[in-house]
Amino acid sequence: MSINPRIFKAINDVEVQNSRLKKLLIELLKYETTDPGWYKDKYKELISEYSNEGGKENGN
Amino acid sequence: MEIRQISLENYRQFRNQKIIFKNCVGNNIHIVIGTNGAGKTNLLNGINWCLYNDEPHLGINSKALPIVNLFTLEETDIGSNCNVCVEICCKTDQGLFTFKRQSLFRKSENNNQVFNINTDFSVITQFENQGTKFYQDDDAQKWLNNFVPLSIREYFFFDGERLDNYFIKETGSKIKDSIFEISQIKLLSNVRYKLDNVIKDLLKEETKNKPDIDEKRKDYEDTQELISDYSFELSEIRDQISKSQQIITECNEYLRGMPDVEVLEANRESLIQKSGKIKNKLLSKKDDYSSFNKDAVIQINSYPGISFTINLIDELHENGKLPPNIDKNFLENMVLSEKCEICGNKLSLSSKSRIFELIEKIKLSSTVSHGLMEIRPSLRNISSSIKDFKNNLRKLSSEMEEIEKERDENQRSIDEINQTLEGFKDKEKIVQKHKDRGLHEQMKEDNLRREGVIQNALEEAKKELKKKKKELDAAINTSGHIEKATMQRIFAENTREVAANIERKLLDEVREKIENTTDKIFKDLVWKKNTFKNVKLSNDYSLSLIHVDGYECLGSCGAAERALFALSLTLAIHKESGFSSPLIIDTPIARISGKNRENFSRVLGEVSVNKQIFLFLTHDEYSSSVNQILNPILCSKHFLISTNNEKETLIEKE
Repeated sequence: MSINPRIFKAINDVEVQNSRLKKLLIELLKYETTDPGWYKDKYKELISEYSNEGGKENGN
Repeated sequence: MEIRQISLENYRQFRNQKIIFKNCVGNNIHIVIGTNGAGKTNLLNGINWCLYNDEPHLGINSKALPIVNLFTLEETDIGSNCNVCVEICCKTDQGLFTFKRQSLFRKSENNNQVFNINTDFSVITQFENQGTKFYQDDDAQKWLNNFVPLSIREYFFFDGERLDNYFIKETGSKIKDSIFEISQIKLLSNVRYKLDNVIKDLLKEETKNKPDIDEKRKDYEDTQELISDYSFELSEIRDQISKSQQIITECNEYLRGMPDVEVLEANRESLIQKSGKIKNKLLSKKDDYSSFNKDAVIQINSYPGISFTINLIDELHENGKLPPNIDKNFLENMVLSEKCEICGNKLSLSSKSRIFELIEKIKLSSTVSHGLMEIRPSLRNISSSIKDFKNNLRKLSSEMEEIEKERDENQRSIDEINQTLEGFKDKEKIVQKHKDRGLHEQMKEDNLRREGVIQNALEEAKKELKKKKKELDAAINTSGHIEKATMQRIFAENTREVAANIERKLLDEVREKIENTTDKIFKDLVWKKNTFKNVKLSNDYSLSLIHVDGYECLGSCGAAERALFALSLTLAIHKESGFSSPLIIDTPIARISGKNRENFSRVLGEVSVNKQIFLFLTHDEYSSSVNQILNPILCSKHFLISTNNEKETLIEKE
């Protein structure tokens, strides 16, 4: 299943200080389209990957 | 995307049939005509079976029969296999692709019983420069999801009854679910939900080995759980309110113009009881009338005597003879004693002579005189009552007439109720519908009260959660050093917040788009151009149609307008979902009559300019007036011909 372009547009349009939040969200959505079973490890891995760039200000 | 061919092999009454739908310019409308039972609905079931492996429109008769064609089954030996296959070939800009479902069945010893051995679903594509490709399992499923996903197939392939009952059967939550599916908001919800769980894990890691902070974390999580419980309860309550409203609307639809049979029967019972009381009252009044007459006869017969006596007394009274003012005995005693009883002097001769004169005048005794004077008022009363006889008789008659009038009116009311009740054969169902409506009105009211209470509790819990979150964050950050786990958790929390905001925004956007598109389509198609103001899809996803005068008017619309409204919503969902798949409707105008049948046919014709439409019609539906409208714009017309004792249907092109 592909992600509805409307969702991409909505993510693009939303204003956040840290653009990596959007990137993480897109990755999580892509992962969801694969209809995963156990998800926690992958989620933690992606959160760790995207939050690690930029130190303390991450996500704020 | 268009359907070009449907092939059915051993599927129910279709033993080996194929329908080819040619390419069309302009209107893209195809009709299949058949009598009831010829197989229109099973053609719809065949499409559903091929795509989704189910048959949502099976009637009672079909349910009892095996899916395998009965003749094929008869010709199959016990223990041998037979194949059922339905193929739907579609055309896109890229080329052709075919959905194919094939099931192998084995005939058991139990006559005409079959059991499924295996089922395959595949997609075959024939695209330019790509040759023929074959897909199965998940890959085939992906093709299907691009055609019409299962979650929204009911907006594409449906029974015409759905158009009529759409707004009775469907609820706001159902429409909301469809919007969730169409806009893939579910994906965002899943991400948000899963992030929540991961955030909980990250928090646990942060507070591990820090008992004070861990206590605050648990406290925070307890409040989160409380909020989750409240939210779940609220959603359940809202669902129940929605269901109650659905049942109330359904009952209102059913009971429109019908009386409350139970109340009527109770009224009739009470009128019958009243009837007995009136009867007794009338009998008693008749008795009074009869005794009055009897008494009156005696009085009337005695009237001359009474009248004479009164006149006599009156005459004596006028002559001063009544009442006597001198006592005769008193005078006689004075004469005998020759002494005045008053002054004690001896009576003179002249006095004696005067007393004798007086004695002479008093001929009646005092006793009789007093008696006569005493009976005079009674005699006058009797005389007067005899004179009032006519008035009293009239009064009694009038009272009897009043009672008779009351009796007749009561009987008329009973007759009216009987007549009303006789008009409704399914009294038990009417009673049940009234009961259901009453019950759900009460339930809805109770749930609305509960909703308010839980909503308040939820708001309070949310405030409490914010407070606890601040306390927890402060406790975690007390060292001033932010650990890696904390950074990750805050990052995840912010991502979750972004997901939630986008989810809300998208939901509002899609809702608004569906509302506007439904409104536009409805206004374009509706034949009453000056009746409706606009279509509204509220925040709770309930649909309303607003009259130009400002009131909600869907409930008072006719079947044709309701069907058009549902069709408009269906087409809006098609447009907003981005799926350009065909629309297939079984018996679309069976529940619409008269002029509106023509109007609705014209609308379907207009819609077919931009969308491939298949209509499965009965001969009755395809009346001469409908024929006049549809025939000039038809792409194809097929007939379903029942043969061999209705066990087999042939599809013939006109």
